[in-house]
Amino acid sequence: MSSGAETAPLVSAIVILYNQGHFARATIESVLAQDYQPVEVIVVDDGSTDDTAAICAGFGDRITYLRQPNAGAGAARNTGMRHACGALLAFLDGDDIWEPGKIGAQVNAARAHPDAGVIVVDGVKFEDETVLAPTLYFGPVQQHFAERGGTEMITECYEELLQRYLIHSPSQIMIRREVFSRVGPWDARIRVSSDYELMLRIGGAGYPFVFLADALIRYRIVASSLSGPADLREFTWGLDGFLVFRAHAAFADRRHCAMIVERLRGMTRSLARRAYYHGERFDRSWSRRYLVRLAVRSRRPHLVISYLVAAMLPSWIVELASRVISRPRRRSAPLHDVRSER
Amino acid sequence: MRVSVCIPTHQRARLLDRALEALVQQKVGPEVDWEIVVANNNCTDDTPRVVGRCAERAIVPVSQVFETRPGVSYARNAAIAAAKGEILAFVDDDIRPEDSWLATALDTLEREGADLVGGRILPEWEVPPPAWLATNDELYDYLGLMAVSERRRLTYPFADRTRIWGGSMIVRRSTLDRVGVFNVSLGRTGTRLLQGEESDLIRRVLQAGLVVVYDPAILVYHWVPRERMRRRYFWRWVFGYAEGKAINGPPRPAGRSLLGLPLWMYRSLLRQCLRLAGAPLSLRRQIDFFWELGLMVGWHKRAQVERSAAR
Repeated sequence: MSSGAETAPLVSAIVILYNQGHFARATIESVLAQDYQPVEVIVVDDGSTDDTAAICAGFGDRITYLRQPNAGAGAARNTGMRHACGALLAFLDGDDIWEPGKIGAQVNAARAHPDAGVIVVDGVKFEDETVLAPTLYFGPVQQHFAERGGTEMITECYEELLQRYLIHSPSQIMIRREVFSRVGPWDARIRVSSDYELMLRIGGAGYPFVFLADALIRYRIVASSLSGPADLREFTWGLDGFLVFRAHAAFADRRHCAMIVERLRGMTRSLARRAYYHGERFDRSWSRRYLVRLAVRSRRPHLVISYLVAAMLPSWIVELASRVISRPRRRSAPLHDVRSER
Repeated sequence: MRVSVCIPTHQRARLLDRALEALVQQKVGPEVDWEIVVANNNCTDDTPRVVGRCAERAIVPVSQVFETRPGVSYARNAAIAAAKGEILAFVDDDIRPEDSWLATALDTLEREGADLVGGRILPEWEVPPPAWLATNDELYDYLGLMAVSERRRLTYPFADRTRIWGGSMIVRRSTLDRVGVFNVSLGRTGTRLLQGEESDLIRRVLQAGLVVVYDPAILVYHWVPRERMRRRYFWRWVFGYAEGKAINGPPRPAGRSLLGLPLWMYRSLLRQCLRLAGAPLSLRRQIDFFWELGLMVGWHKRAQVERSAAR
C-alpha cells in the first residue's frame, strides 16, 4: 500500500484576484505551467467588479474558483486555505507571475529542511517586458547572498523581522500547513500588510525561514494597486504598520514587546517627518490630513503635533521660525520604516 | 479491502461540504474499495443537497443515513449499521483529512496489527488564536485536538495525554462486534457538551485485550471557530465532560452523605472555590472549578435516577 509520505506532496497554490482581470490569465497560466506536480490551483476572487470571473471560467475545472464579497487580501487567502487540501501552501497575488521552476524549488527546500516554516524565493521587479530590478531581496538577506553566495540561507529571523520586513511580496512564499495550526490564519483585519503580521507570528513561534537565491517570481510594478498610488505607498504601509505591530504585541513576550514599543515610536517620528516634507514639496493639504491620521493611528499625538502645526501655519512663518531657532538637530538612532525599502 | 468512512453531522452543511471535498481527494491504492457514509442527525439545513452534490461528483459511492435521535453517538452507530466496510473510519463534519489520511491509517492498521488506530488532530483556526490558547497544548484536549508527535500504543488506564478522538478514528468492524458500538448515553447532543464516548469505546477495546495505536502520521485538521477560542467554551466543555463521567463512571464509594451527595464532594468543591478566589483569572483554576461542579451535578442526577429505579 502506498503511503502518502513517499509520493510527491500535494501543493495548493492560492491565487487571489481583485479587479486584475487584465493580468489574471498570465498569472493563472504561470501556476498551471509549473514543472512540479501535483499542484491544485485555488483562485479566490475578492469581489472583483471587472471581467475576472469570465477569465477564470475560461480555465474550466483546471482551477477551483471561489468568490467572496470584497474583504481584503488576508481574508481572501484564508478563504483559499479553507478549500486547500495540500500539505504545502503557496500564495500568489493577482498581478505577479511564477517562473516554471518555482514550486519545485520550494518543495525540494521544504523536504531538505523539515523544520522550516516558510520557504521564500527571490524574484525580479518588472513592468510590461522590462525588468526594473534583478532582485526582491534587500537588507540582510541581499547582503548574505552578495557576500557569501550560495543557493540558500536558513535563518531564525524573528528579531530581524521586528526591525524590518524581509520579504517583498506574498507571491514569494510557501508555508507548511502545519505552521498555520500553530500560529493561526492570516489576520483579516489588516488590509494591506497582513503578510508581515503573519511572518511575525511564524518567526515568533520559532520556525526558521529558508531564503532561496534563485529569482523565481516576477513582481509586477503597477502605478496603482491595492496599496494606492506608487509614490504614497510607503505612507499607506506606514499606517498599516501600527495595526501589524499592535496585533502582534498580543503574541510577543515582554522583551519583544519593549522592542515593538520602541519601533512604533520610531515609526511615528519618521513618518511624521517624511509626511511633512513630502507635503511641503507636493501637497500641504494631503500632509495635514495624513498627519492627523498618523496622530490618531499611532496613539502618539505628541510626536506628531509639531509637524502638524508646522503644516498648518503659512510657509513664511515656518521659514522664519526655523531661521530663528536654528539649533543643531538632534537625531535619534537610524530607523527603518515599514517597507520603506519597497 | 472494504472501507467505510463515516461522518456524523448536525446542522453544519458548509463545514460538511469542506470535509467531503477533502475526503473525495483521498489518495488510496486500487486495492481499497471504499465508500462515504454521512449520518444525517436531524439536519434541517442544506445537508442533503451538499451530500447529493458530492455523490454526483465523487468517484466513490456516497450515501446518507438519517438518524432522528439526537446525539453524535446515535449518529455514529447509525453509520456503522449502514456501512458495508469491514474497516470503519470515523471523521467529524468539522474535520479536513490530509490527502494521505486514509492510506496512512490503513497502513498503520495492517503494519501494527492494530484493531483501532487514530492520529494527530491539528487545529485549523478560524481567526488567529489568542496567545494563551496558541501556546498551550494542554488546552488542545478540550478542543478535540491531539498534537502528540510520537507513535504510541495506548494502555488502560491511560498512561499519558495521548487519546484518540472520533474526529479521526479507524477501527475494524470485528472489533466493534466484540466490544459493542458507541455508548449512546455519552456524546454531544444538541446544545449539551456531554462527552467521553470515544474514551469509553477505547477503554472497552483495551479491556478486551485488543491493540490500539496512536500514529501521528495519520493527520487531520479540525476547524476551530472563533466561539471556541473563548474561555466560556472551556468552562462548558469541562462541565459537560465531568457530568458525563459522573453519570456513567464507576459507582461512587459509600460514605457519609448530605442531600444524597457524599460529604467529600462538598469539601473538594469548596477547595476549588477557594483556589479560584485566589486567582479568578487563571483558566487552569476555572477549569478545575467547573470540573468539580460538573461532577457534583452529574452525581446528583445519577443519584436521582438510581433512587427512582430502586422505587
